[in-house]
Parts: sequence; structure tokens; C-alpha cells
Amino acid sequence: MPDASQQDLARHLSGCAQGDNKALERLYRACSAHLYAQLLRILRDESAAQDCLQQVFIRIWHAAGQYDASRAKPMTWLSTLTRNIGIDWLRRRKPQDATDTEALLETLTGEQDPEADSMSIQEGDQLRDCLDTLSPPHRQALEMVYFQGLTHSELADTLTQPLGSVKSWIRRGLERLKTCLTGI
Amino acid sequence: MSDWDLSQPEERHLAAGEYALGALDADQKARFEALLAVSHDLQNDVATWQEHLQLFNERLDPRTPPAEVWKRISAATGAAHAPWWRSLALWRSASIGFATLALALGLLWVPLGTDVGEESAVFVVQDEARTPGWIISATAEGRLIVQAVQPRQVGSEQTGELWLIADGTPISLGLLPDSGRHRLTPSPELRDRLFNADLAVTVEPQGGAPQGQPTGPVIDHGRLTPIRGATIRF
Repeated sequence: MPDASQQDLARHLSGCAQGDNKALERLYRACSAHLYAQLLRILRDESAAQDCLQQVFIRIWHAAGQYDASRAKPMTWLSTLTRNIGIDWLRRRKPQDATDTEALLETLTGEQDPEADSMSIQEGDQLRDCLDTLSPPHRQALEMVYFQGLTHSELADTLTQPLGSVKSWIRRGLERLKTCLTGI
Repeated sequence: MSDWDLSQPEERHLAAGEYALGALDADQKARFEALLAVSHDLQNDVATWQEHLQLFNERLDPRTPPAEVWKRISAATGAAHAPWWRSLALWRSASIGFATLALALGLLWVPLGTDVGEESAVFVVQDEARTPGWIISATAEGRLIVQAVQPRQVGSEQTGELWLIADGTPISLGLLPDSGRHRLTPSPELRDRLFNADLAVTVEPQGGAPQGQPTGPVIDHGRLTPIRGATIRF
């Protein structure tokens, strides 16, 4: 999200903190489609995503005063709050299903070197392409944790893989992501 | 996990990533959060990782939710049209009838003399960037000493005003100085309430809120925090 839009979001949040209902409406117009997409990805259920989106904005309305611009970009703060609500819902309502697990398992445990294909990605790509530097299995493992709220152990159970291997996939994925994003 | 050594910087940094991602199991999460609570570096680490992980969200195609959702949100936050001082949950807890006090204010703003009692409690007024605007200290007797620090949100034709919220009604405790130290002397009735009430600071036109009710944005709100070891008269 461009910096100008982020500044708008920060202004709307500040308005919400002061009880300005119009600011909430402007915030909703600016970011509800992004947050809704996020909830759909987490919940895979339109009705649940709509319920959660409602919760998200009610929470924002009450918690906007806690937003601290020195600690997070507004969209990151909003997304984190949204993700927490989505994952909470998931944990309360729905046992983890094993969608996509088989395919992931094959790539994770296959013969191919997960690092090899990612090395071909050229440096200097757009930041968002950093996800492409992750090998598909690393990326999928990260996404399962991030969007399905699985912990290391739960991911290991879901994939019926040793905990140590799962942790190592996650860590290598994180390290690679960071390397790409920070250019270190 | 026996090999999880959070005293190692690199391990800590990766743990911050796993925490932001949501991968830590309950016991690890508890250990990590204990450290997180006291480490600014680690808090920054987590914030940085959260920023990195935004990539996952940015990849998603936006989807416009049905109009119905906004209607429900709007209805649920409809109380928003009430003034801001009603929306702070703490302020609803004040239970004693206070309407008459508003009429009985004898507020004085006087230069600070040397006869200041020991400070018993403070409220540091901070702006959004956590820059202190004023430090408000109260003596055990309920006198207020106001030290301006950097009241950045107050413009040239404006002033900061301090409010005590009683029963959902803001009562002015006085104007806050641009610089220097001043004393506010609330009426005896208000002094009795000072240590149990919510306080707020707003930006007002020079001379203070014209109708005796706050009009400008809230800079901060909070309560006086007792200084350890000090005595407070309630």
C-alpha cells in the first residue's frame, strides 16, 4: 500500500480514536476489501468472513486509540488485528481440515532441493516478489501457519512429519524471506 | 524445547519471526512473551517481522464485502454520535452524582510558589507519538502542579485544557501552560475526586473551551498514578 494511503489510514484511525464516526466509514471504504480478502483466505467461508469483518471494525472502533504509529504501519496494525480475529474464530468453530495437505507433503518431503529453484530469482525484484524467492513448500508451510493459525506442533501433526523438520522448514522460510526483504 | 536458547540474539530474532507468524506452541509462546514484555529490541523485532509478513496479505486480491456488513457495523457503532467522553469505558464507572459540582468550581491558576507539598501521584500527558506534553503531579492534598514539557499539539491560538470526567461529564480543571510550571487549585469537592477519576486533556481555543465543554481533539486521557511510598488522602 502506498505511503499516501497509509497516511490516510493513520488519519482515519486517529479520527476513530476521537469518536468520529465518519472516520470509521472512511477507514472502512479504504481497507475493508483488503481485510475481507484476508478473512476469506483464513476462513474460506463468506458468511463467517462477514461476521468477522464486522467484529474487526467494531474492535477497531474501540481500540483505535491504541494504534501507535511509531510501532507499525496502519495497514499492518489493521491486518494483525484482523488476522487475530479470524484465527480466533477458526480455533473456536472449526477443527483443522487437511485441505492441500497431501500436495504440500509431497513437495516438502520430495527429492528436490527446496533452495535450488528459489536461487534463480533475481535480486532487485519488487519487494512483494520476495514471496517468490521462497520455495513452494517453504512458502506453503509459512502460509499454513499464518493463515490457518497452526503452531509448529499442529503443523507437524497435520503433515505427519517430525516436529524438527517442520520447525526447520519454517525457519528457513523466514530467513529467506528476511534476506530478500532486507537485502542482507 | 531443550535447544531453544533465547539468550542467543540470532535465536531470539528468529523466535520473533515465529511468534509474529504464529508458529510458537503455547509454552514457547509464554516464554517468549515474558521476554517480550521487557525487551524493546524484541518488540521492535516482532514489529519488523509483522511488517515482513504483510507480504502474504498484500498478495491477496481485494474483495468488496456486501453492503450489509457496513450497515451492521454502522448500527453497532451508532453510539459513536455521542461525544467522545462517553465512549471511554472507564468513565462510565464513576457513580456518584456530580452535576452540582460543575457549578461550584473555584478554579485558580496561579504561579507556583515555594509552598508546594510533596507530590503523591502523576499523570504524564502524551501525544500520539508518545511525546510528553505535560507532567501533571498531584499533592496529597489534591493540588495540581503542571509542568509543560513539549505540548506539540497545541497551536499558536490554542491552549491545552485539563478535564476531570465525573459521571460521564467533563469538568474543567483548568488550562495548561505552553511552557513552565504552574499550579492548579481545584475546588475541595474536585480534589476529593482527583485520585479516582479519569482525566483528559483536549486542545481548545485560547482562553479555554468557550461553553465549558470540550470542543477540540483529545490529546490523551488517563488517571493519576500514585507514586510508590507516597500518601494520598482520599
